[in-house]
Amino acid sequence: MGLTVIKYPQREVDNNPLFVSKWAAINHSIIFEMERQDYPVFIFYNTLTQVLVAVITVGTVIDSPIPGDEIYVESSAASGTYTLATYGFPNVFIMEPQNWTGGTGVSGFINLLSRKNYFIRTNVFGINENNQYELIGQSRNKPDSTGRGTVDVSSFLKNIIGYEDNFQYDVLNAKDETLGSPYNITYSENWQLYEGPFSGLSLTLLRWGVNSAKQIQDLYGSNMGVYVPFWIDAFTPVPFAKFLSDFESPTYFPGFPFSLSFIYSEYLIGIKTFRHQENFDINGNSIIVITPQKLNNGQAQEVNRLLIDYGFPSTHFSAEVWLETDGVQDCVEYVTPGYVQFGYVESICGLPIVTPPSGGGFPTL
Amino acid sequence: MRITEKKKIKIDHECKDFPIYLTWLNRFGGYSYWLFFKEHNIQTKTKSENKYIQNIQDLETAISTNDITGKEVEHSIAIGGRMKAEDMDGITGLYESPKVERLMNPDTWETDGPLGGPAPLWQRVIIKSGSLTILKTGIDFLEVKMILELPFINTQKE
Repeated sequence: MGLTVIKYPQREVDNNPLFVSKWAAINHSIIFEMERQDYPVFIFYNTLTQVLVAVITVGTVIDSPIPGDEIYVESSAASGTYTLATYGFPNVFIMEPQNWTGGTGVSGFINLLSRKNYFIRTNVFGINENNQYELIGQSRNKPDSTGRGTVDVSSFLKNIIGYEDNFQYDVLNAKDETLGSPYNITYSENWQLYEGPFSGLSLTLLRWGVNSAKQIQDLYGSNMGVYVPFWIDAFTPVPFAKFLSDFESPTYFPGFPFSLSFIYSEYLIGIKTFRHQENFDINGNSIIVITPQKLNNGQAQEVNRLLIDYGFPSTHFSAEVWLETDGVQDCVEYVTPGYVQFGYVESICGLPIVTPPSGGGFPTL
Repeated sequence: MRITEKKKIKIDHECKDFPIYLTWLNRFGGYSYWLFFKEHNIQTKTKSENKYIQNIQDLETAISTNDITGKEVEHSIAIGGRMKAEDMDGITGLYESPKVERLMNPDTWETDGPLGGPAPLWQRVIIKSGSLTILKTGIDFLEVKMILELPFINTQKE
């Protein structure tokens, strides 16, 4: 079985599994919890002889166990570290005498503590301007005695976030790489004289860090779930995502640059999303509903800047701005690098494909 | 189907003299804006570097007995005004933000681009650390004062 991620840095919004936010604040820990399970086993225990037997159910033993080796055994009911008495080739571990309270005929897993200097190696990838994975860091972490370990990728993401505001206020919406970044990870297990292969790297499913700082007792902790817009289908109501503003009601000063920041989430890839705006007079009466403007879907999967309709006559004293989607497909023309023809674009109707990292060596999903 | 909150945006039509327009990275991971006007004090603060005594060979032609190798020069702007209590959530964000920028071409930013399009020019400023009253119960307006520390002024150095 090897190494698996048992908990990702994501949260279900409104406790609904349909609404999963993979957007996290990079100024806090962004933690993947991993678990090492060397071999899945069936566990048998004789209470009279106190012999504990673990029989591997799946996989081939790649280690060379010898009597005296320490074996960590875990089932859903009990766990402990035991000394190997006999190894029955190819898949039987006999430990005696032992005190085991987890019952007999139960499934579980064993970890061989004879794997010296075991550690998890995690590669963290950002995505460059050519929509290609780029290695931004590598983390080495040792799991605890039960085989559980954590990997925090936030420090790597902070390194690729810039602080130079380059938005030119000339398009309806544009991604802003100073405000967040997509990323992904691969991981492998390693020990003395063994270097394991890396896990697969998805070419479409990403995670994101946002250059934000959450506070204690904030809803969803360091996750940005409150700010992530969702879309499932035309019939499923979704929670309303918040804009990334510290004003409850920001002020627009005519003649000066202004934008709203929002998370253009992966849920909106490949479908039409519109900016809506309604202007009001000093008494709060509606004056005009601005024609909805379709967002550039090619800017999705990043934090975006959004322009409002600036044309405010002196009788307009406030406006409401929000986003809507009709779920209608919106194929996007991406400029695809590597083609001989200058300006070649490729129309994509769905999740854009991220190019694998140069150098290869990573299986893709 | 609506997928976000309806964000209310207030429109301030009042004419602003001596505008200082700021944008800042707010703690939610977006950019916010505010326009300060009228009440500004621009200051320069200097500090001498390496004062030394000159070795005078000829009293008759000497021009000084001491000198400095250069000066450190820092400009700052004191800004402020009366803020509505309802706006103090954002003004607090400005005061607490580590990344604040000032618009340097407020009159021409809409046409400064290479094709006559918008090209705002921002300059990083630092809000001087201190304390700011962000809530007074029963009061609709709060006096706000901040000092913007501008980039160092370069001068000649010996």
